[in-house]
Amino acid sequence: MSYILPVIFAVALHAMLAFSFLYTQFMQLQQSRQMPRHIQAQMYDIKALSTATKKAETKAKDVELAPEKTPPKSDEVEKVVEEKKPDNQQLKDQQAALQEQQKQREVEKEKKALERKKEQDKLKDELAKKEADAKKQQEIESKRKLAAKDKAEREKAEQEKQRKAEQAKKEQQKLAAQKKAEQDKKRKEEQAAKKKAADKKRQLAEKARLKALEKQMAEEEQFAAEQIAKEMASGVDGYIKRMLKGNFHIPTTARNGINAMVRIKLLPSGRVVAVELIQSSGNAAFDRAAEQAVWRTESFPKVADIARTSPAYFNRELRTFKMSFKPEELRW
Amino acid sequence: MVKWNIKNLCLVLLTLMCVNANAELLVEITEGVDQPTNIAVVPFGWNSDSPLVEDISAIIANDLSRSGMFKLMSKENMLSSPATQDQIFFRDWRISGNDFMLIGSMKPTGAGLIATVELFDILTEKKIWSQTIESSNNDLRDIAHYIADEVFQKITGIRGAFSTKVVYVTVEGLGAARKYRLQMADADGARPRTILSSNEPILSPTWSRDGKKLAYVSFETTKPSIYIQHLATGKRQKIQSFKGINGAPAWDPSGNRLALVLSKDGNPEIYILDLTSGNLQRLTRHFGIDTEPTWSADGQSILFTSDRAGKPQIYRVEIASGAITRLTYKGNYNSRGRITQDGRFLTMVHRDENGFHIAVQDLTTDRLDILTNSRDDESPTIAPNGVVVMYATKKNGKGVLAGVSLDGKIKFTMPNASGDVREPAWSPFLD
Repeated sequence: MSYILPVIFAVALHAMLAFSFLYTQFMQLQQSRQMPRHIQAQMYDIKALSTATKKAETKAKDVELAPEKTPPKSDEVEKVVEEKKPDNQQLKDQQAALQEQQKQREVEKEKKALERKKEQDKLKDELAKKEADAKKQQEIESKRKLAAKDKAEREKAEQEKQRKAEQAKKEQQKLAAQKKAEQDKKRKEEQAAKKKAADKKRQLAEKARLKALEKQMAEEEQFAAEQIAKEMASGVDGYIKRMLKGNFHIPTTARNGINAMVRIKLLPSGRVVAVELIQSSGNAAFDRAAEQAVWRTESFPKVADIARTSPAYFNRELRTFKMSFKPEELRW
Repeated sequence: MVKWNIKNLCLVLLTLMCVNANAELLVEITEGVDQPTNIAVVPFGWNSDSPLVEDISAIIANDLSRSGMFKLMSKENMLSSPATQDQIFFRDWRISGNDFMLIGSMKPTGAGLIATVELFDILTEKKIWSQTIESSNNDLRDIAHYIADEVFQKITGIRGAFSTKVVYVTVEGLGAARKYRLQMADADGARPRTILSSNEPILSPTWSRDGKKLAYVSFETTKPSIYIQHLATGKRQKIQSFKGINGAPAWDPSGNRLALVLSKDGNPEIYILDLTSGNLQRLTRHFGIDTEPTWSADGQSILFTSDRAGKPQIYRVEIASGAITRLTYKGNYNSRGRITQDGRFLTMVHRDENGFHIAVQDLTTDRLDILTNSRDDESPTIAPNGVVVMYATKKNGKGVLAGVSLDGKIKFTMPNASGDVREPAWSPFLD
């Protein structure tokens, strides 16, 4: 839509240009139509002068002038010439000769006129032809131009179309290339993944086999270690009791039957890291004494030995355990 | 398949848990050591040039020490005197064998001072208690006893009785110059003041349960009479007198009745006198001597000493039914029974081949423990928290007050008062 206005303007501009062109051409044509008559006249006069006698030079001059002006003048010259005829034979001869000459001239003139006419016609024709040609040319030109324009537009459109097509094609190609690349990539990846998976599977299988072996060995080792640890731990109960004994400061308010329970947490180093009262005795001092007995003990080196021998056993049996504080043989 | 797996897993877990729960090692600690709690009472910082009239941290340390439950680190052994938590190097205090430490700082204010105290559990490095106490300058000992009470309660779970009072009788002079004084002092013997002075004997002071009144026997009229004296006003009131002995008053828990010994009916018997109505109720009827009544904590029965079995022993009489049970069997002399507030322990004067001692009997097991090895011990009186027994004894031929922890682990002698000191009576908690 937006092209309509510019197109109209362009057409108008072209039309204007065509008009101005035609106009100037026409003007030139009018000029060129007058010009050749002058040239013919001059040409004619020069010939007449060259052929005419020196006597008739003046007359010839008149003649010269006459045809320059109007044809009737040449008629006058003829009249003058005829009036002079009866003068003499010579004159007559001369006259005859002159007449002949005149006739000849006339023929010539006629011929010339004919020629001129012919020429003029020819010129006219030529002009017309030229005009027609020009017109035709113009038409052709305009047609050509239009055609060119059309063509240009068409070409442009074509180009655009082509460009678009090319672009589309390119894009398509690009897409196709991309797709292909992707597919390739995917395929490659799939292949790689497949390979990897296969490798992994193989590796895993190998690993599993090794692991199983290791596990078996470890289990055996662990079992052996645990057996040792178990043996080591057989007296751990008494050991802990002995460790606690000196550190358990029984408050005087403790009464027989009093019982507090704590859960303790040890590090593999045997160090106490947490003491939690899980059953109160009802006597704050006694509860605290129980907790403090563990804190005061600080660590159990023998438990550390067991943990070193079998971490699994330590984790299972000795990382956390309970202690029940129930002093016997209190006074009350 | 999946379902089975989950189910299986759950089962396995459950089994493991069960196994674990069953398998958790339980160590029974049946032995320990009788060792008092080690505590360091660090001398308090005092932010002033003028010296304080009392050494608060020393008073606190003394209080705690006399309970028998604490072993105080001596000031000389302390490597540092932290006044704030950030100054404490717990490791050092732990190495020095302490379980707890009390730090504090004081600064003067316009009227008195502000004390900030903090109690730490050294083994766990945790703050157990802290408080800022504002006080006037002339009751430093009250502040000290208050802090000691708090520390005692925080660590032992038992209410501290360091802010309580004790009354006792002193005898000074010879012949006509002989002077009897009823005195009241802090539980540590400090700040004694005379409540009554007389030229005639004063006996058996006893506290009302609200701690506001005393009852005692005075011979000021040459005949023994029972008097009630209001501590706040000093107002005295002689109660109804009877022929013969009027002695050994004991206030019941409600404060409305007095148990007493009267010999108006021939020989000393235990009676209950209703102070509002004046009604007298006879509790015992025996040809033997029944004396030294004391109320059980619940007010339902009265314990007394009687020689009805030939030798003095301690008996219990149910007030409602009049049923009498003998409580003491060990030894041939047990008298002056006093019972703890929980009703479990009975302290008494027990005589063995070495003389008279303070003994304690567990009424649930009847186990008797002799707490003192001095030979002239008498008049035991139990701190309201049942931790310490105070009694009168002889030191270098002079009557003094001494104390022993109920477990007998610690004994101490009260600061010397002028004259012979006898018949101490420990106040109830004074709120």
